Amino acid sequence: MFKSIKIKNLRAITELEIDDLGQVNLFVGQNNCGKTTMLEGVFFLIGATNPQLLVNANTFRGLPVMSKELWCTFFHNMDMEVPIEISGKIRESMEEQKLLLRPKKKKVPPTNFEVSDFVSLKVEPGDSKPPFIPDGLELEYTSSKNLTEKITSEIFVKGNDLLVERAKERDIRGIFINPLTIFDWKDRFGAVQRKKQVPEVITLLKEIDPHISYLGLNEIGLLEADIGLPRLLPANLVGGGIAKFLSVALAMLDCQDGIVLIDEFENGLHYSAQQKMWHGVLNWAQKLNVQVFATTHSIECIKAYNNSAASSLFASEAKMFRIERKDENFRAVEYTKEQLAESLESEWEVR
Amino acid sequence: MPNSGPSRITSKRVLAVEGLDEKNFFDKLLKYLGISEFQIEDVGGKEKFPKKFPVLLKTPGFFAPDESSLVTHLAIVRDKDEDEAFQSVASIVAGAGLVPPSKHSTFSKGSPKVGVFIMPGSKVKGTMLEDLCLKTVEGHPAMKCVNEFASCVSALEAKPKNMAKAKAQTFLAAQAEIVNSVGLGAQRDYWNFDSPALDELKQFLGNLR
Repeated sequence: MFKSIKIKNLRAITELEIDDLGQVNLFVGQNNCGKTTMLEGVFFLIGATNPQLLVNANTFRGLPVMSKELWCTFFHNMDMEVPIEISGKIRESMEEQKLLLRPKKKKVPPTNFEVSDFVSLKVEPGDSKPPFIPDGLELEYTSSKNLTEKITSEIFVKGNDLLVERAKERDIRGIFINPLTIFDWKDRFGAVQRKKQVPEVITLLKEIDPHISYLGLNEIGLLEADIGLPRLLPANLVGGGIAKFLSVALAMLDCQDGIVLIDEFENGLHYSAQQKMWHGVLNWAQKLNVQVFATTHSIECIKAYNNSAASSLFASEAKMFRIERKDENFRAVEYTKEQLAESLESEWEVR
Repeated sequence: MPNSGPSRITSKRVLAVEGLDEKNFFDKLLKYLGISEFQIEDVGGKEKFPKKFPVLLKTPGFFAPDESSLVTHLAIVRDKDEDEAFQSVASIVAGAGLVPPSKHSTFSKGSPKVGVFIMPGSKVKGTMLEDLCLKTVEGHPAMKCVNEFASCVSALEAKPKNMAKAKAQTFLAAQAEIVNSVGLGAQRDYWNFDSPALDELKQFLGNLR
């Protein structure tokens, strides 16, 4: 569980530090202030030895392709000369984990000059640096627990293939939920089913559709629900709210001691359902030791979060941060649960 | 003032007061003084001020992302209520990372410049806005009735606990059109804004020009 996160040179973010994170953290802020990029930064740090996540993040943004031209889009101002740095301190141990992202340089074959009396040279740019072609990205992960060990992995395009080298599994697990991944249920449902936690999911779903009495995977791996019709219905067709509830519930239940990142928490949910989902998230976060990072634009979502936290024994672990941006300056403004409640009561803007 | 949803800090000059009544009173007084570019926010009194004040500073528009203050002047007006009111406010201001003024009715040199005024000021007896309002109308014909009423109820076994509030309400009740708060009384021009009793406050508020 992270106590703090620091992100440098990732996409729009020049430098952003967030300290005193809670176990459940809601991020707000104006469009283009870096909320989603911050979530991506945390996601990359969790999977610091899995370069595939970089490509996944672009897919989540609706960019399901990768070419050499797109490597620079991860870097601030698309300047690959300045590496991306993402670091985080672990709450209990104060261990510092750090990820450096830089271009993987293409190996340029040695040039053979023929020695003769006259060598004709064309005029080159007046720059002392040798030219290089970014051939992919290199990830370097270090931890203050073991400063001598660097884990380096790579992702690059070769021909028509996207290749990953030296990826490693890590102990910590993270799940990223956004509007494009909300139907990502199959594997997670299987894991939740094995842990006999499906009744908990059904209890939450009943909050928005009391007719739901059964959930299960069919023979081709499709998740189906019994909502009182003559036959089971694919869960995708039950409704957008159910899909979002399912997605969040399965992620929380399948991510014990891990981190769940939820972009646009309110997406697909009526305001009256948001408090119910926050209630579930806060309960599971406490019960399963999950750290949550969520974003929203919606004041209803913020109020629902505040109300759910107020009725939870977990209130002291519920924080809100507003990310502010002006040109190249970023800051995170922290609200404790009490400060958020005070601000909403005073009708002061918090977003 | 119309309620148009959650408020951001949009003015460089902010007046922090301790209730809706005070918001109405100062809105009228500042306009009377020809000060037009200001924003008034309710930060609560003795009980709520310690919690609400730091939250006001987090409101969008108070500080820029580079931590510089977008607000140039922050005036805080609070009722006296207790002997150490100024020290109490100054210490909360300092605890929030701002530079408090060294004495009552002045502004600090920080960014923002912070001023503190404890009602009813150093020249008027009492502990609250109502004392100051009553002082502005001490020559008003209705005050004879108000004082007689106060004298009469003082003899009661269960007399009003707050005589300044009782007298202010009585004064408002003695007007042709009755309103039930000193702030609304200000909006109706029932208090005398030309009174010398307001000189110290006017001088303080002049910093918001």
